Amino acid sequence: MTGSIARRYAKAMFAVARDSGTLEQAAGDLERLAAIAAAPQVAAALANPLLSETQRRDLASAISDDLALRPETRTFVCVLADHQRLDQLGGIADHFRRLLDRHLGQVRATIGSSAALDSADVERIVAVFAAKTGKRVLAETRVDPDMLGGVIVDIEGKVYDGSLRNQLRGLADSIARGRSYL
Amino acid sequence: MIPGRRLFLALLLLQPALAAASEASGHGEHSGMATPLKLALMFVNLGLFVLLMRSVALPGIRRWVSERREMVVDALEKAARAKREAEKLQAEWKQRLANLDAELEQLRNQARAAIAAEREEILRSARTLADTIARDAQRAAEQELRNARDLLRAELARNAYELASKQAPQHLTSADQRRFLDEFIQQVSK
Repeated sequence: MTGSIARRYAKAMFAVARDSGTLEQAAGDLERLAAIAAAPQVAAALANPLLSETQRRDLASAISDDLALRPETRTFVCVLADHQRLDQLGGIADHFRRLLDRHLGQVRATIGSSAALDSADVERIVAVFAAKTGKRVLAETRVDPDMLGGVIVDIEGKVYDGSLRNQLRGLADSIARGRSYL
Repeated sequence: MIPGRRLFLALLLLQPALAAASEASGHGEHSGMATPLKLALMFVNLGLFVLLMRSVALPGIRRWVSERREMVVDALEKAARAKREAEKLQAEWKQRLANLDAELEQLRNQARAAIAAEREEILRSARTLADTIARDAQRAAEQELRNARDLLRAELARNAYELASKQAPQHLTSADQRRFLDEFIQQVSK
């Protein structure tokens, strides 16, 4: 339910920003807003149902002033405050980013490995997934020693697991099920 | 009855006259004239008595005799019927007694056959039950064996995984990592 609400607001914001040709700026505004909204104290204040409409507006104005938001984004935040949807800021930013990525023909990928990959390896992986998806791949890397070896690529929720840990688990499952593993 | 009634009335009317005449002649008993009158009076009295008995007592006696006769006949018929039934019953019992041995033997044979059938049924049920129990026990044992085998395999797999997880970082080289990456890219590219 909250996901669909955030998606609707994100679509509305995206349409406004696209029409005004400020998609990148709007995305930046929303990312900063999401970062602020993720702070526990701010999140609690945004989700507080006891705040009056005036208090919510004041809170929205204060955040907008602090972040020096553009007028369009400021208006959007006020609309969220009026409808008691300030707690949806994180979800709205996520959906907006996906809409923007789709609009720009790009996908985001997380590349995990047991040891840090050099840039050439990352480029090889990016090239493979760019060819596979037909889109530009924006990759970010992370190191997870528990993977033991190999890589895991998470691209828009679809996971390609090439880790040694996964292969060992597959081997262990084969042993447990009594299949030949030689 | 009408002639008898007339005779009775005549005798009844005649009797006082004869009685009076006999009384009158009683004074001259020695003359020998009184005896016929007395005799006639006795006959008249006797006739009256007979007629009286005939008209009054005789019908009752006849009716009593008739009823008595019917009772006796009825009792005789009942006795005859009872006798016939008793004879018939006696004949039946004689017949049954004569067939008693055969009947007893037949009953014994029937009882033996029933007991044998019951015994066979009990044995058959017992065999079926024993087969079922043995089959269930075998299935349970096989299932236990499978469970134990699965547990053993799972334990073996878990130990193998843990051992490999511990050993892998120490033995994996950069060449191995490169090979993993190459294989991954190759698989994804398919």
